Amino acid sequence: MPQFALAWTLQNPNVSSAIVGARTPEQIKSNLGAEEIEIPKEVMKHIDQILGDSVVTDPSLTKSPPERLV
Amino acid sequence: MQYSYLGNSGFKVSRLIYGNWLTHASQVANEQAVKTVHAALDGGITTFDTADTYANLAAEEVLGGALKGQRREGLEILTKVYWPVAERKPNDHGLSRKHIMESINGSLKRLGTDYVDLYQAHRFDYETPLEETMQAFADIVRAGKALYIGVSEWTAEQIEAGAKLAKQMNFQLIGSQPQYSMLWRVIEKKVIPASEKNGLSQIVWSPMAGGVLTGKYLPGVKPAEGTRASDPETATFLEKFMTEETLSRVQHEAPC
Repeated sequence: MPQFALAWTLQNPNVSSAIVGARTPEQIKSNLGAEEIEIPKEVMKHIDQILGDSVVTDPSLTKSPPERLV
Repeated sequence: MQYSYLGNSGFKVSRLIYGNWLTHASQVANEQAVKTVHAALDGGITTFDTADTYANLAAEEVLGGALKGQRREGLEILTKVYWPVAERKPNDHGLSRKHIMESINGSLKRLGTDYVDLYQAHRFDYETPLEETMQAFADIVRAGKALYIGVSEWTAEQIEAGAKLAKQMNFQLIGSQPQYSMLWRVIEKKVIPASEKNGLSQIVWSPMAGGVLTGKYLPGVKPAEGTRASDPETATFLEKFMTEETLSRVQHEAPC
């Protein structure tokens, strides 16, 4: 499942890379190979159906703090 | 491992990048951090992403230490500037020329390198004229302290304006680093089209939605000790994904 989630982001041709934040060598190893997974279009669609409105798409959520902390 | 070009450039990054947000010098003991970095290298990961603000400067140092002895040309090292670190004096935050120039020197020292491959604006700074920020980045590239420049969590409009200025100053923005995952797709409508048009590609953070997409959090079950969802410091970031409905959908999403 970790590989699948990573692979999903890499299906987007505009995504060069995905950052993994592994805490252990085992976690890193469980991520490797994700870059080789091709997810069929119908599976991509199926994911969207399952996740439904849990998916957040609102572009206004890309934001920076309105002012500095100092 | 596969490698891809970052934006409209000849610079390659590994498709999986090892990032040390929340781990190095905080969640993970140093010895473990070094072992994990070495496991990444063994797996063909050549690109490492950090920031001065991670663990309040200490994450850069841990990463620098873990990469010590590696051939510099075989690595791509990415860091960031914007957030205040350590002290909070008037110029310790943002993208002013002063904060950028002082921060790059500190980052290079902690990472133990003469240059970073990609220097990224960690957020947009509304209090500094964009011209000032981009001129500082241009000078850093000219001085050889960073080879390329990128941004993180900038909007489409900010990317557009920054890229235009960069071109006028004879350098270019090549990377955008937003949050992106199956659950968080806010960049699809605007950031991605603006990036593509201006020669930037995306390096995405939290591709597993903070671990939620690994399926390890079950609906109605208290998160296990030692996970990010169980730690008050990191739990706030995960909150938005931790509803019963989303967790139960995630359990049904994966084919494996």
